[in-house]
Order: sequence, then C-alpha cells, then structure tokens
Amino acid sequence: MDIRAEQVAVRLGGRTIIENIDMEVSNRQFVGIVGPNGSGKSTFLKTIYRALKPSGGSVWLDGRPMDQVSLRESARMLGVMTQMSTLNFDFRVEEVVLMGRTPHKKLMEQDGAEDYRLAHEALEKTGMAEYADRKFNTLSGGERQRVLMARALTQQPRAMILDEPTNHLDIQYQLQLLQTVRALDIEIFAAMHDLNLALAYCDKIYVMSQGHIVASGPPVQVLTAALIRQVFHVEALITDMPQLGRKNIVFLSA
Amino acid sequence: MSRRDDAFPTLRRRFPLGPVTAALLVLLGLSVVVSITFGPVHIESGEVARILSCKFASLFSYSVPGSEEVLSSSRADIIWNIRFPRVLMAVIVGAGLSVSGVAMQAVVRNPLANPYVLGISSGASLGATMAILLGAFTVFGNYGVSVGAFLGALLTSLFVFTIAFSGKSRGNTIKLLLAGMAINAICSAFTNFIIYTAKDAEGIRSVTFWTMGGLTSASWNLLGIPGVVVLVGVAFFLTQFRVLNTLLIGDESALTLGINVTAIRRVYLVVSSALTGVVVAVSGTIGFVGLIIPHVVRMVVGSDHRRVTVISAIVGSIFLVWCDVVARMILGNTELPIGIVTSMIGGPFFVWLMLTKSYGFGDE
Repeated sequence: MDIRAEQVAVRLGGRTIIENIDMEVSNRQFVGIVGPNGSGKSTFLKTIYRALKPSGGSVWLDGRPMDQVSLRESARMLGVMTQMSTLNFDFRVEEVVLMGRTPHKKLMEQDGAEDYRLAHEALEKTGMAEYADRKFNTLSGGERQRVLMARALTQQPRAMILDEPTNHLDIQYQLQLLQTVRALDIEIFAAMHDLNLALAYCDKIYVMSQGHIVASGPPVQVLTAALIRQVFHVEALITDMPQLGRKNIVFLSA
Repeated sequence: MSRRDDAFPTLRRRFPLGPVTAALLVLLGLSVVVSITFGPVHIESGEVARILSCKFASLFSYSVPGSEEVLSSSRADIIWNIRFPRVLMAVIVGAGLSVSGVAMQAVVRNPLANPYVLGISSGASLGATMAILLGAFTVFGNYGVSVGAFLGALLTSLFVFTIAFSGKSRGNTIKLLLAGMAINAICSAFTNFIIYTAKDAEGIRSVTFWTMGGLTSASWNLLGIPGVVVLVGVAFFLTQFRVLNTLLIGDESALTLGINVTAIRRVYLVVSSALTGVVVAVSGTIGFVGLIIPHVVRMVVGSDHRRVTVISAIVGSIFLVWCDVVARMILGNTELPIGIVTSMIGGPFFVWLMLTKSYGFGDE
C-alpha cells in the first residue's frame, strides 16, 4: 500500500515540531527515517498512524486522503509497532496478539480457528511461540517488543509502520525482526537509530534534523561521512566490505 | 498443524465460558432463594421456592393446584412484597456497580478506578441530603430522595465531563480523575454544611444511613427503572468486549487497532455513569463493590472482557445478595447499612491489592 505525505507539519503548543515533510513509501520498499533524538521522526510517524493530526499538509493512503479513510479501515491496512510501557492489567501474550484481529472483527464476532492460526504463526515468526500462555507483564522489554510485532503481523497489514523496532532487542532478534518484515513484501516505514541496519535493510532513507528532511535517497548514497558529521555531530569512517558487497559505518568520536 | 495446536492450547478452548456462566446463574438463583429465608421470621427455602413459583405461575395465569392457599398466607406476603424485591434490588445493584466498575477501569485505564471515581457518589449524597434535610424534591413524594440523588449524580458527571473534555486535550484520563476529586470535595463540603447546620436529628440519622448505603427502601415500585437501565447497560458492555480489551492496553495501541478512543471513551463514561447514577439513587453509596468484584473476577479468569464483564455482573449480584443478608442479620433486630459490610470486606482487600500488585496510577 502506498503511503504519501505532502508538506506535513505538526505544531504543538505554538511550537513547530516538524515542517515541510514530503515522504513516500511505495513499491514494497523498506523506507527508513533516521535522525538524531528530537528530530521529529516519531512525531511524523504519529501523523501516519493517526495518533496526531497534522497541523498542515496531508497524508494519503493508496491515493486516498487520510481523512476520508475510517480509523477501522486504516487499521486493517496499517500495522503499527511502537514503544510501549507496561500494562496495568494482566493479559496473556496470546490475548495481546489476538487483539491484532480487532479491526477485522464485527461486533460480538468471536475469534475463530483462522484467527488463532494467524496469531500463532505470528508468534512463531517472532520467536515467541513458547510464550503464548505467559503474562505479558512478566516479559522482558525485548520479548514485549516481539509480542507487539506479532500483534502487528496478526493484523495482516498491507503496510507497516515501525517506530524504532529494534529497540530493546538483542542482535539476533534485531536482525530476525528486520528480516521478517522484509520478507512480508509489503511497504515498510521505519524510524531507525542504527545507521548500519538502515544501510543493510532500507531501500531508501530520509534523514531528518530539527523537524525537517535534510537528505533522502538510497542509504549508500545518503549516509556519507559529511552528512553524519553535519546531522549527528559524529566523526565516522565509511568502509567498503567487498566480500559482502556492502558498506559499513565505523563511528570514531563525537 | 495439529501438533502445534496441542502445544498451544488456547484459552478459547480451555475456558468454558458458557458452562461457567450457567453455573453462576444457578448459584445466583439459589442465593436469591436461600437469602430470602433470612429475616426476623425464618422461612424454609423449600417454602420460599414454593411461594415464588406459585406466584410466578399465577403471574402468567397458570393455576397450580393449591396455589391459592399458599399465596394467601402472611408469609407469602412477606416474601413477595418485602423480601423478594429487596433481594432483586441487591441483584440489580450488584450487577450494575460491578459492570460499571469494569467499564470505568477500562475507560481510565486504571485498576484502582471504581464507579464513583468521577464524583458521582458525592453528587448523589448531596442530592439526597438536600431532599432529606432541606425538603427539596418533595414534589416527587416518596421518591424525592431517589430523584435528588439521581439529579446529583447526573449533574456531577456532566460537570466532570465538561471539565475533562474542555480545552485542547482530548479527554485525558488524569484530567477526568482530578476533576472527579475536585467535584467530590465541593459536594462533600456542601453536604457537610447542610448536615452541620441542620437541627433535625432524625433527618441527620437518615442522611447518615443513606450515605452508607442500604436496600431497605426496595419495593416493586422502585425496581423498574434501575432494573431496565442495569439490564440495558450490562447488555451494552457485554457487546463491547473487544473495544474494552484494547482500551486496557493503551490509547495509542487501541487507535492503531481502529478504535476511535476519544469518542468511545465518552460513550462508555455516559453509559457507566447512567448505571451508577440509577443504582446510587435507589441504594445510596455502596462502596467497593465496583472495585473488588472486577478484580476478583480478573484474578480467576484473566483480563479478557468477553469473560470479565458477564462474570462480574453475576458475581457482583451474588456478592451483594449475601452482603445484604449479613447487613440484615448481624445485629439481630436492627439493620446495618450494607455499605459498612461491603467496605469492611473491601477496604482491606483494596490495601492488599495495592501492596501485591505494582499498579501505577494512570501512567502511560
């Protein structure tokens, strides 16, 4: 599903958080947004998954303006995985994952065998199948993150929004999660912190700084030593890894 | 495939909601019959069952042999006109408060919330106090106190909604809770002022009794409105299990699952307040039922609302029926306000809950 943002701006309490944001995800691309803390990545993603109304500009889902798409309808198309704190109530992992079926269900409709199959498939993809009966609150941060990923997968979305998906995850699950979403073969829109992961997984990246887009394009072209110095205020060495056909960023000093 | 199903048995298969609900309903029926036997005159449960069934049969114009004799006894009168409406009131109030508590906890996403968290009880108390001590609402005759309490409940909830949903914020739950606290303080102050300046000792006693909650006023005439409102309210929340579940996991998650959180929260607040308002109007402020019952139920069956709502309704009814028996019987010939009984059980439970569970207060 195509997602397009045109001139999106968010102002909160008289302060401009983001402005003039044009972004596009289409053709089953994995698109990353990178940028330092407070650059507006999360704020922008919130306007896409409708937690924030843009104060200016517009967002389009599959060519339709967002305000003409019902919340329920967009929830059937967009899977979202964000950071989440603890729950005040005890839910089991399986119950949390099954909630991903909510936008597909009518009033009073029960979860059927197919819903359970999707939920367990998603739990297996995220390596959490054995935790189905555990209480969500007893899990570690990384495990919770994987459960939320499973919930988003259970939504059977046509595009995914990920806000720092690899946060809390150990290296194995960082890679596994990114491979899993890549393999979905749908549009992925992800705010990412790890520039090397962005380099390895993204088809295209947008670099944000102070609420604006400062660069965009294929990560190999965009992530130069000069840009990293300018945006992140860090000296970096970009090395070739010919045996992998990839580049690697080594950070030297702040 | 089947191997995987065996490895992860699902609660849907493991939790027999139908049979459990049926069993609880039977238990509720038995509780009703047995609780009727308690009172100044002891009546055997067999006789209670016989009288009730004859009465029901005659209501549907069946004539059971010998039923006229059964129904003409003075015991039939005690059971049908005094004890049965009262026990039914306990059933209605128990279900209403429990389900209202379930909904309120989901709406403000806080396990320590209860039906009175928006100040409804203090508003109702003020209304009732005005009716009893100042003679307000006398146009409503015997129902003056109930009408006063209901109006008080209505006005406080309107006030709280207005405050919480005004301004730019989209009705955040902390604002709701704080607005509830503020109105609570204001109403209590006026109630206390009226009580303090009143000369009417008998009236003050009635106010005290009213604020501690009681089902003494129960009669057939008073059952209708709360009965219908509780039935409709409970039925409504039974259909909302999915949305209630997503509310518990947080606004943003609910939103990304397609729930219009702001709108649905308003609807739930209105329905839940209506439930609480009519219940408080006829029974006074009975504390802790709406807090304890949802928790006890969650501890046993988990947090999924397709189970929590229906089971809370029935368990709440059973609980209140038996609390009322204790309130009627424990002092011998005088009656204890039922709110004292529920608070004596509920207070310690509340503390225990706070100590054992690391619950936050409305944090995101």
